Amino acid sequence: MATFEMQLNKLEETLLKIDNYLNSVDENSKFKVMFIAEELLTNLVRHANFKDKTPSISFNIEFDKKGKLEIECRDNAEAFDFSEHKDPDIDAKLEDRELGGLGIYLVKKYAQELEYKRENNFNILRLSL
Amino acid sequence: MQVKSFREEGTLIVAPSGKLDTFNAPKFGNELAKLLEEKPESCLLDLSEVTFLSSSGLQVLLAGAKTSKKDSIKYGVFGMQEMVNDVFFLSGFNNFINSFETKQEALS
Repeated sequence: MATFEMQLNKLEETLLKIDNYLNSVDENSKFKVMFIAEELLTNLVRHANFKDKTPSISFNIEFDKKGKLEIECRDNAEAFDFSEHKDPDIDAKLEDRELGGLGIYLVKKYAQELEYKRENNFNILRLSL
Repeated sequence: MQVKSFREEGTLIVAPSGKLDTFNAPKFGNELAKLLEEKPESCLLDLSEVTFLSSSGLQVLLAGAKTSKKDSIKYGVFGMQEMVNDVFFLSGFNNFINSFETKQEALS
């Protein structure tokens, strides 16, 4: 198990640390975790509203007994329920195609299970691969 | 990340390598936009050396497709690795960008 705490100005450094940690994981799983980490952490850096609080963000990776990967992302920004986020229209024609929401949509696709809760002013998102 | 580009049989081939992630994709996007300004007849992206693709990378592929459509440039991608291919298809980009396994296929 590993927990990565991130400050808002340390996105690249944090992603590199996660990437290094996953060196022993098979390539496809690593790709998926890195995809999820980049989308979630980038979203937080770009869009999250922490109001007057000191931002607290952590990204946790765990392997369960069967070796399945579990990810937990916690942050103290304003509530954002990922699982209720509207999916983009992936069948749209090129002219109508917009990029917003695609990252989140793909994270949901990659997650076998996804659970969101708001606890003690923290967003807690758990996913398993 | 590096971006190579060259002409082959009148087609502009652009080959980025490495990760098309939130840090590198914008650089690739700028280079691709510049190359498309020359309005080649067709443009193929060789993605065989791309090891990672996030929504930032998809954004660049989409911008390239939109510019190409506007300027009547034939646009496609080839050589995607398994997981990159996965992201591409899950996003529905196959609906508007032709993708091929090999360069030969893409050129024919």
